[in-house]
Amino acid sequence: MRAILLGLLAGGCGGVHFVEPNPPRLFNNTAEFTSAAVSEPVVWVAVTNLFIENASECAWARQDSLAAVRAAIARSGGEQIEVNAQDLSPDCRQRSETALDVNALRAAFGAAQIALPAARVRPLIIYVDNIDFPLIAEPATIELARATISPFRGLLWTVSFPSVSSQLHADRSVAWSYAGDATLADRIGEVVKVELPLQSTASVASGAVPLLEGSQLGVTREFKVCAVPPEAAPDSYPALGITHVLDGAQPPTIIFKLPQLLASPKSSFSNSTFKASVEGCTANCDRYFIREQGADPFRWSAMPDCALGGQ
Amino acid sequence: MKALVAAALIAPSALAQVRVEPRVFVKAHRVFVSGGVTWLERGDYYNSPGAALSAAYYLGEDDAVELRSAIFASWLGASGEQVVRSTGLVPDAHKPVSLLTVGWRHSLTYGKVALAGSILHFDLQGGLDLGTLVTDRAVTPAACGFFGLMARLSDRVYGQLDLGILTSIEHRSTSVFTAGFLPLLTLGARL
Repeated sequence: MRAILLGLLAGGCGGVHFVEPNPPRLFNNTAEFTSAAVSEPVVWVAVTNLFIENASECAWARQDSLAAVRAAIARSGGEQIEVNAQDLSPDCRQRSETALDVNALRAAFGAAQIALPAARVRPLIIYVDNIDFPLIAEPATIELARATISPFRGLLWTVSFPSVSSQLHADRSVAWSYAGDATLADRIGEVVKVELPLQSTASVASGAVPLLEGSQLGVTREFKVCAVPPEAAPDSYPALGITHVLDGAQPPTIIFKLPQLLASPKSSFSNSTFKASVEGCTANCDRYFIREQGADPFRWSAMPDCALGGQ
Repeated sequence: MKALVAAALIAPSALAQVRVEPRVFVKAHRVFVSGGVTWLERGDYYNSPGAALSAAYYLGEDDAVELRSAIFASWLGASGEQVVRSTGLVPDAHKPVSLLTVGWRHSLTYGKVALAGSILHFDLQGGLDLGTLVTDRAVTPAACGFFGLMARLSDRVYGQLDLGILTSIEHRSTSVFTAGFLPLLTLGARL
C-alpha cells in the first residue's frame, strides 16, 4: 500500500514542469533571392568539309548546307552575328585541301566582341562534314580554334557522321544524311531550340535583399539571423545568432554573391536561388524560451542560436 | 476451537454468559452528513488545504452512496514561489479549486474499542468516488479511492477520517495523469 501511494505521488510530482507564462513571441522568415539570366548574342561560324563526287554540284551542296544552318540558327531569336564561313575542301574533291584559318576566326570573333562590348561572345563553330572516315589534321586545329579564338572556349556542333563528331568531341551533333536534305534545317533547329541563345547570369551580386518582409518590420522588436548560404557576401548582413534590435530606419538586408555562368548553353544553365533564415521577436523578447517539455529554459535574447529551428 | 470445547466441558455455565451486544452504530436507511477539513497533496508546488462536506445514504449497514464536495484554498508553496520570484516561470500544474464527487462506500468491518473509559463503535470502510476536480484553468475528470474510519461519537454524532488517493487527468505542458494524497477529517450527524 505504501509503495503504491509513493508511486502515485511520485507520478504526480514528476508531471510538473515550470513554464513561461509570457513566452517570447517568435516567427520565422526566409529571405529568398533567385538570380536572373540574360541572353547573349549568337556569334557563329560554319566550317564545311564536303566531298561531292560530281564537282558541278559542289557549290550547290555547300550553299544548301549553309542555308540550312543559317535557317536553323535564325530560329534562336535575339542578336546574331555570322562570321564568314570557312570551306576546308573548296572543290569538294579532297577533304581538308585547305587548313582551318584560326587567325581569321580569332580576328572575326574579336571584332564581334568589339561590336558587342556588353556581351559575352562565346564562339559557336558548326562543322559540316559528309565523310564517314576519321579526320587527320582537323581535330587539332579545331581544338586550337575552340581554345584560342575567344576568351570563352568555343562551342562545337557537328553535322556529320557519328565517327567524326565523337573524334572532335563535339558539344552537340546532328547526323549527316545527304546534300540537299530538306529536313536538315529542322534537325539543327531542334538543337538550336534547346541550346540557344546562350545564357549568362545577369549580375555579379544580388543587391540588398530584405531579411524581413514589410509587414514584419512594423511589429518586430528584435531579430536574429539564423543561417545564410556560403554565397552570402561577408559583412553584408547582421551577425549570425546574435540578437539585434530592429532599426526601422535601416531594415536588415543581405547581399548574395552570384556564381557566374557566362554564355552557357541554355540546357546547362539554371538560375540560382539563395535563402537566408531569420527569426524575429515581436514581444517578450527577454523572456524564457523552453524548447520542449522539461527542457532547460533560456532567455531568447541571450540564446546563441535561433529557437524555432531555422538553422 | 479446542479451547472453546474445553471450556464447554469444564464449565458449561460459562457459555451461558457469552452475550452478543446489538449493533449500536446503526446506519441502514439513514443519511449521514458531515463537514470538516482536508488537504490535497499532489507534489505540484501548491499547498492545498480545504473544507469538505459529504453526505451519505446507507442502503444497508454495509453500503452507502455518497456525495462529497471540497473547496480548496490553494497557494503556491515556498519553493515554487521562489522560482516564480527569481525567474518568472510558473509550474504548469493547475491550482486546485474544488472537488465534487459521487461514489460508493462500503463497510469492511464493524468494531468497538474501550477508549478512555467509554466504548467507541466504529466502521472500517473503503470506497470509490468519481467526479471532477475543478482547477484554476479547467474542469478535469477525477477519481478518488479511499480507506477510512467512521466512528460513533454519540447517539447522533459521528466522526470520519478518510485517507484517499485522488487521481485526475490534467493538461499541463502535455496531458498527464496526476495522483495526489487526499486525507479528509470530518465531523457529522445522523439525520
